[in-house]
Amino acid sequence: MYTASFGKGNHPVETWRLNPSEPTLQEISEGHIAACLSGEQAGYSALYELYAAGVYRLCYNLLLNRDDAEDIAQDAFVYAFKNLRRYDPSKAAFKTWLYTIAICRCRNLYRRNRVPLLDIATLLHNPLTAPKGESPEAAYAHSDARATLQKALSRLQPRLREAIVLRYGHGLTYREIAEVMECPAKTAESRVRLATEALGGMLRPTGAHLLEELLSY
Amino acid sequence: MKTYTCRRCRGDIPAYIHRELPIRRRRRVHLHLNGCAACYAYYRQMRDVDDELRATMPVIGVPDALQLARVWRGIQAEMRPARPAYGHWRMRYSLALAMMVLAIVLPWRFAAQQARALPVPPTPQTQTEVTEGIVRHVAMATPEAGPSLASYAPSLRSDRLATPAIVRNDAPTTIATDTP
Repeated sequence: MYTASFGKGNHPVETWRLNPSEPTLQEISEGHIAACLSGEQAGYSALYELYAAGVYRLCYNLLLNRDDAEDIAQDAFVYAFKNLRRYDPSKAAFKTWLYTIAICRCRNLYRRNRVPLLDIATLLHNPLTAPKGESPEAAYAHSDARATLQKALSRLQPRLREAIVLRYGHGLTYREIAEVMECPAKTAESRVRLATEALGGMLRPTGAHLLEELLSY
Repeated sequence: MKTYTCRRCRGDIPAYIHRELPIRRRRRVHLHLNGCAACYAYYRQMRDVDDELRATMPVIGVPDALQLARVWRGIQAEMRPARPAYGHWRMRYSLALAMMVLAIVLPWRFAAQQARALPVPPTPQTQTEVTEGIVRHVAMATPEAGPSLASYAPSLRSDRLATPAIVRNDAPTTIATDTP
């Protein structure tokens, strides 16, 4: 089913629904928000369960440091929960609002410490385990691809990194990226393009080709 | 109609791959790619990067349950309404105790100060006693002057002068014992 709602600036925000009887993420969120506003503590934990992983991943991808990502995710949730009354569903989806808060906090952190933030321990030995049934070569290629991508991300400009993370890490559309980054949709599009080109240049020596090569053995 | 250059086409290729172009522009890019080998090579390259990012990016920074639990504990701690601290109650009790101590001590101190500030004036009777004491001392020191001093102190009669029992306690004991 194809549904349309209105986002920022009364632009229709189009969303696909596979099953019309199932509520969308936004509808579920609004239910939890109503519960929170009526004083139910369970609403907060439900909202946290819905968005915690996404917000943490967003912060980690932008900061590339676990401790900072945890702190910023916590700050973002605390701010959102304390200001739930100020959230207006007619302006933006809750996810967009929450991501905007998280990104603003990440930007504040960039400004505070200009030095590149890199979790060296994470880069040196990647804690992500390979999926079961994967050959050692493929597992190595996957972990190598992740490490290479993290390094490449750390070299990107913050604004380009934000755009690419929102696009590929969280599957946001250009319009949603524009809402989160508070810029025109065209700017968001060009940031995604520039980031993709930059990453393409950095990832070319390794990446998919190497993975294909290894898997062909 | 504007010509659709390679430069413009390359600008649209990421949006074309992401399926974010309107139908007209999408068709234009499609037609251009069919006829331009350089742009088609660029498109293939961008599609490879897109595939790789699509596969790799979502698995970077996936949190484990412990991390999420830690963040949730932090949120709960910050969201908890500020509890009246122990120090607050301690402050109240301390104040009450201090007031009680003041209530007990202040009147006593005040009374003591008042007593020190207003000494009782000497009464005429006391003055007489003091005069008598002095005269008696003089009389005992010089016994021949005793009768002449009798007018000053009625107690200095000859029968009482001889007995040191009338000597007051405040008189120097050495004088009293030396008296014959």
